[in-house]
Amino acid sequence: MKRELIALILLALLIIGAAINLACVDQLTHLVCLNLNRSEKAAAYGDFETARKSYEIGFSVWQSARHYTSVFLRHPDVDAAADAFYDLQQLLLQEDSNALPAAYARLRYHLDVIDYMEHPSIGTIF
Amino acid sequence: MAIVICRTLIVYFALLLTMRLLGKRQLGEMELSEFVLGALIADLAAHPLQDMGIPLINGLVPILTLFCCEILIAGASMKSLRLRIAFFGKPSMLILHGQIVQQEMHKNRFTLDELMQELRSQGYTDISKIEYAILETDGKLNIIPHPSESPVTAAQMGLTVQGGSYPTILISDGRILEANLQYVGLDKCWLTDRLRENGADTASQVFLMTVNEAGEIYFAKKEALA
Repeated sequence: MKRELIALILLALLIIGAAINLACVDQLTHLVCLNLNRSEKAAAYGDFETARKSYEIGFSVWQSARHYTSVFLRHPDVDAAADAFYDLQQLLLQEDSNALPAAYARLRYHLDVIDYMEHPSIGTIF
Repeated sequence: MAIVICRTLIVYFALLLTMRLLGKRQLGEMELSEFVLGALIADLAAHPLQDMGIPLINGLVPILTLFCCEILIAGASMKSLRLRIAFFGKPSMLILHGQIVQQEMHKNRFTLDELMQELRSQGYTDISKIEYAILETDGKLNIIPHPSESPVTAAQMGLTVQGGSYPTILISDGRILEANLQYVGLDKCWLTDRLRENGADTASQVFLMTVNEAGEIYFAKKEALA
């Protein structure tokens, strides 16, 4: 009975851990996307200084969660998001307003995929 | 992480169901859930080791989930007979009073060749001399011969035999097993006397020494290595 109880507690802990992980990934992607939206709006108005600042905040949020992302998320997804971050940074420095919307969309897509793939649904389970 | 848990549970129960439907033949001395667990864990553990792109936690979480499932299923089936039958099945009588039960053979997908092979491997060639052949839930075939074919026991012959005695190891490869010495109610003084009687000065010269309940000693001195 003791072993069954331990197994039940362990299973419950795993499920709680999974729920915490979902909350973490939600918060991380939400915070990064919030700053990316600000950055994109500023870039659309030609305010590249503000766009770069907002981008830097978003990127630092992503970088500060490096340990979390490498332990809990699939490494190819994390690498793809990092590549998209650096591509966007380059375009912001070049102030290339034609290529910027696509770069923002690509980064947001990678973050969406990371968030979506962590949420249990018919699509993600099967 | 939640996906990993969901996937693990789905694969575990799908495999359990598949193996349950495949029948006992596939198991070979393992309970159904043990077999499924063994098949899954070996593969789950290998993936994060081979592919560095998969976080180690994706291998550990399913293993922990499977461990919990196994313990809970084992615990639940101890309490409920219905659940036990559902998960592990029940023994099948393949031979009853010297007659093959064809329906059970068919149900378990057990061919005549396989039955004959099992019988031969256990020293039986004549089905009519077998009282029962039972296919257990772990896939093992247990055979009980007809009483006329069973070996005669001492009780049937009216003989009185002494009870068997279990030998306890006191010295193993030069080391005294003090827990065993205490268990049989003996002490080191008794052991030293027995060593001297057998021509050894210390326990380190002895390879194996056992004593049974009747106090009989088996003594093997260490051979000198070339």
